[in-house]
Amino acid sequence: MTAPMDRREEDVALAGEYALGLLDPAARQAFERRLMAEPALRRMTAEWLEGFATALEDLAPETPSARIESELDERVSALLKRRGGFSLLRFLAGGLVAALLALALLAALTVTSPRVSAHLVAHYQADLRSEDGRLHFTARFDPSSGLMAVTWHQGRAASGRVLQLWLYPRGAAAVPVPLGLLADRADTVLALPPELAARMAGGDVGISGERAGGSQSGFPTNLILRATLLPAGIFTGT
Amino acid sequence: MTPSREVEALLRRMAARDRAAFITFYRRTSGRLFALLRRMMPTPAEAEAVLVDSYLAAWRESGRFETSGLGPYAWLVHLARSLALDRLRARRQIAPPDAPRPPGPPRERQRQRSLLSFCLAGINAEDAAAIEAAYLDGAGYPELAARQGVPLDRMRQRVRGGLVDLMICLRG
Repeated sequence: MTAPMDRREEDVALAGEYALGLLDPAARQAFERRLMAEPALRRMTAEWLEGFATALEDLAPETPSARIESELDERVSALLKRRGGFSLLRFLAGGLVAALLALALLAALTVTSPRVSAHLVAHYQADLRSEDGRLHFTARFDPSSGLMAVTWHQGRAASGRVLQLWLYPRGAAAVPVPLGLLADRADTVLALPPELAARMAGGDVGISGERAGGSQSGFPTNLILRATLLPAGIFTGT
Repeated sequence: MTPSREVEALLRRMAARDRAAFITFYRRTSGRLFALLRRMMPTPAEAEAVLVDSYLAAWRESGRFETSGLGPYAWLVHLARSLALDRLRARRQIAPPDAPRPPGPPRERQRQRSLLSFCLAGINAEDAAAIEAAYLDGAGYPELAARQGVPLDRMRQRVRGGLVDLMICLRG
């Protein structure tokens, strides 16, 4: 095919590349931003995922080692015993964020109203800006989808450091909860467990500087910014 | 494969934290998913590691399945491929560029009965081979270009053109 693509064909190809995992990080991030705002693109991506998944019918099943089933049974039993936000956050911190985000983005598939879609990540908002203006982020949280979107405006971590996002739930006795690492000079979207949604409203979010990999202690090492998550209407006047 | 409705019912029970449903879900769906991960990951140990992560994530995220807009198999495979690709990308950062791996094992003709196979058979053969390698082997553009001996831009153009043709067939 040599003729130039029209815009619809461009989107068909782009959604297909996304579903195949062929996009580079910048293109993938840009596409995911569009996914959050464009129901038609989410439907197209779902079409690709359904179409590609039919390939499984062609594969001869292979049996994993028997210890996998025992391991899964043990780990799920352990998760059931210590149900609660903390274990789920440890789960999130275990490198599964990419997969959870992939699912969370598609969970928005049922959001068909443009009005709802436009407000997908705008229920609570916090402006995180240093006094000298060198570091500036906006955090937006949507309790219905569990998505936290952190928009990067300005600045980056000190050399050799990473920035980590924290929740400070309302209440003096509440301990900070690690939410995830922020991308370097780019936007970040985190899929958070539903159990956490109830603790977001009126809480603070903070950003700390950490060694690569994030805080090892479970507490912020060098807190740089902190601001309260407020209803987004306060910022937009809606 | 186990009918989708049965697998959907298992996912709903998992969302209600039913551990027995989780094990049944694993037994019903892991054979073909593991076959896919064996193709994608360089070693059986890594395929098993991704398999474990995938089912734990499925347990954790089963409550979101209903609103995903996907069928249960597409949902599970999307989750597992996301994890597998994440690992493959991390490996590529350590040791770029990709060395072209041999293509996956040839599939028996009689087994090629899926809608995807049917539609791939109807488009340009080189486009189809690249799309199939990207999906089933997790190959990125550099690896696809090396496999077909063409420049990266040409490879990207080939895949994108193939995808447009493929979607016309998938939509029937």
